[in-house]
Amino acid sequence: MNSRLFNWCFKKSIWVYHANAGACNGCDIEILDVLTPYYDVERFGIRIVHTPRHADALLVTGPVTRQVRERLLRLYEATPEPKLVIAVGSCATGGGIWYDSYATCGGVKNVLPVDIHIPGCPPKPEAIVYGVAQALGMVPKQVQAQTYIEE
Amino acid sequence: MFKHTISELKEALVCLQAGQVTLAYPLQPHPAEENFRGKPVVDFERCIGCGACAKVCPPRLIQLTDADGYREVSYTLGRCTYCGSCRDVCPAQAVQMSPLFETATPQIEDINISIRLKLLTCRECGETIATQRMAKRVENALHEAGYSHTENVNLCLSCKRKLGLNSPAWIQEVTR
Amino acid sequence: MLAQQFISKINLNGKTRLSCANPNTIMVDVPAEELQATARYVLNELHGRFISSAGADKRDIAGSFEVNQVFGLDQDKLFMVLRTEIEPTQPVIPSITPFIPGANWAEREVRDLIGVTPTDHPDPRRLVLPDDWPEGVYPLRRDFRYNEHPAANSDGRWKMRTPPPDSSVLPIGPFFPTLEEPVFINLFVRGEKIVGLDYRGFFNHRGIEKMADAELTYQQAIYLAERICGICGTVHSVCYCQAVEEAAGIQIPERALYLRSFYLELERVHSHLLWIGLACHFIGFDTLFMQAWRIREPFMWLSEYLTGARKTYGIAAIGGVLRDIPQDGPERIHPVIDRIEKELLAVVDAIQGDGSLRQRLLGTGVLSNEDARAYCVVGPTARGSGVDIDARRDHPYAAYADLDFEVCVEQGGDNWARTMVRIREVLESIKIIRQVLVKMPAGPIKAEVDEIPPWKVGVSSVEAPRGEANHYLLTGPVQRAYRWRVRAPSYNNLQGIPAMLQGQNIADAPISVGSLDPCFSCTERMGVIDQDSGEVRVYRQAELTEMFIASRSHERRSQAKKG
Repeated sequence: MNSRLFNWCFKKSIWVYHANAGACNGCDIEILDVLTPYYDVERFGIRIVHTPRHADALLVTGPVTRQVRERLLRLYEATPEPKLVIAVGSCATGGGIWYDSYATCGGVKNVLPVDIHIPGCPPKPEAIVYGVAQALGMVPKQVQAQTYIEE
Repeated sequence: MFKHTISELKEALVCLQAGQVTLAYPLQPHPAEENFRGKPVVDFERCIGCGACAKVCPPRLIQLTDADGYREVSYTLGRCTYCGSCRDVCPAQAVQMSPLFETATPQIEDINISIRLKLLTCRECGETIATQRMAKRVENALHEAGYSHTENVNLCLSCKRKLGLNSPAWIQEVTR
Repeated sequence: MLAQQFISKINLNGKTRLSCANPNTIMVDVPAEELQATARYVLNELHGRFISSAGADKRDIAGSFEVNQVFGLDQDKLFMVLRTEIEPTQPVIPSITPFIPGANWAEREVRDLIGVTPTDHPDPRRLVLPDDWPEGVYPLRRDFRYNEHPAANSDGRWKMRTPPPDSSVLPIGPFFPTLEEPVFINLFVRGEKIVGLDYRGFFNHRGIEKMADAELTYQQAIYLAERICGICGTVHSVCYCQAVEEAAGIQIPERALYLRSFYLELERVHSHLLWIGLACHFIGFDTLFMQAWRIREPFMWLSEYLTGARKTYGIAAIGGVLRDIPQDGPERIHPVIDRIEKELLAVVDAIQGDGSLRQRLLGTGVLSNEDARAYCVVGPTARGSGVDIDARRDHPYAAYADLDFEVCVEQGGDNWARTMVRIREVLESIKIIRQVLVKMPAGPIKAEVDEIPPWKVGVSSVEAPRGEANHYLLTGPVQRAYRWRVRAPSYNNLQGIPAMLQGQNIADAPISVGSLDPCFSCTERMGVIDQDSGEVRVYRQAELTEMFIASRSHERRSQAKKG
């Protein structure tokens, strides 16, 4: 995909669609919290839309249970390009505490291509705002893998 | 009808009295509270590779692997539940829950931690005993408790038995 | 009354045997052929309330399956478990759903996960497992590994019930605007009236009970329990710890009991304020949604300060609690709860006369007292219909036996009644928090816990914001549970939806379902499919509101004509 076109499309405000793929609701209510007066993400023009057809980004929570997987794929296909997939919470980013259970797929990255991971259990509303801002290139990444070898 | 209007006025009053409460975040920082459990961080100099954290971690994201003379302690923090159990059990206070919550990243491997510590092998048979740091910790504890016989820390249990070094008689001798 | 004393008063003949699992729980060993009669006896003579069913695979140790039906004897503050052994060669059990409608899902879940089929069950479809799960594979059997992924059954499809004649089908979900959880509801409608519904849930089935009995230790399972629900995590983790403590006979220090009550009430306040905002969001009253969540936010910061996290407090431990509140905790707590109380009272005063709100909530989503009892609903859903149950008073746990609080009951049975119950409960919770801060004694916060003895039964209830959460636990031989059954309050409440929506307008469906405060919210946009012509019409929220207003004025006009 043409990255200049991509950057231009996402210059201003993005519209997000929130999809719960089997989450406990913790991340979902923190996402709703981001709309409320203290965090008010709508002042950046970011709003929650009610159909994937209008969405620029999918905010996916939950480890993607076996039952919901097919519907999530259909939702992804229904979202027009260019689109971002943002995985919110430990279940979405790494499969969570049930990453190897018979009923889950171990995280969104095993089902959809993820653009930004926002870890947390649940992530604070500030962390979600930071992650979305990072997806838009407004703030830098703060984490780096760490390795240590004893001398 | 009149009641309804009064009610609407009261609701408007509630909103007006609240005023504007929006935080300036992310244009200005909004740090977490004092005791907040954010991303786990490890003090590499303190970690002894004992694996206590691995035993209590609910998402089982801490793995210990012994290979090539090193023990690797790896944290796959993508699925961390931020419970703080690792911090609570660490005997060396190496693991802390930092206040960091702005951990978003395109590659989830960016929040992983990998620590490689030298292994101690048995001087007789070459079996892995533990990490060298764990052995040092045991030695220090023995010294502090007044035991001078710490030269056999680098023998594994089977070799100690073979050499008769943990028979009741011997134990009585060294603790006299 | 202690279980031992109670047993002497029971009159059950036949091959039934009674024993005490612990001071709060009576075990009744019933052979399958006497199960229905015994269940009727418990229901009618002992005034028992059905709570849940737990199936277990004990073929390795006892050569049979086991099904436990948990009942609550609320007036006597006891639990009673009807335990039946089932032959593995013929895994069937007589169904109790025909006379206890609230047992419908519980029995189907036992069939899905263990493979014991209830005979004469009115709706024997698959409930919990994914549609593509192969037949004959039962995850909670001991020979199934928790991390197996059996091949998909591509013919697996959920079959909808036959709708009543002359009705259309409205499919809602699994992904829907304002639906916080995936769920699939088919509403059967005639014109604007709902004449029935069919429900396919359990999109969130994550295999929690299997993980606790196959992979995680007792300590790790506390954090598993906390994430069953992201809004009432403390409820489930404390309930799990209590079940283990009941089973193992562990005594909790007094300060820990008070701290548990404190953290639980903390959670109730934030959950109810969240619900008030969401309920208004469903009916389009976004002003109150924003205000309710604005009032709630300082409370989340307070929780973060007191426990280390906004929501997943992580304070439950077997034997007590993990962390005490900071020394200067009370200094920060009092201003925040005083302010919430003041602001909430201002909001409640403001909405009392709000005509639009009253129109939408009064008289809609009516759940009668009889239906509430039949479907064994719990929590504000039950209390809004005049059913006076509350686990804090009926099965006292933590410090509630020493605390003074009112159980809020309303008689209306409609959405307004349930709203009022929750608002009153927030104010009661604030009073309880103040009491706890005054009465809490000094002392240790956690008891020393040795190894947990195996083969002990523990049953525990905790009053979640949504109702009674009940955990049944059987301890195992390798320092993990052998069988852990979680019954969340929404499990029973959701079964009452068909009775609640019968005869209601479509436009009232979202708020009625939302008034249960289920762990999912409902629709604002619906697609209607005309079965005959195949035409699809999509209603937007504004249109639904207009339809609602039009239907109300039509009703008023026809009433005026009659009168």
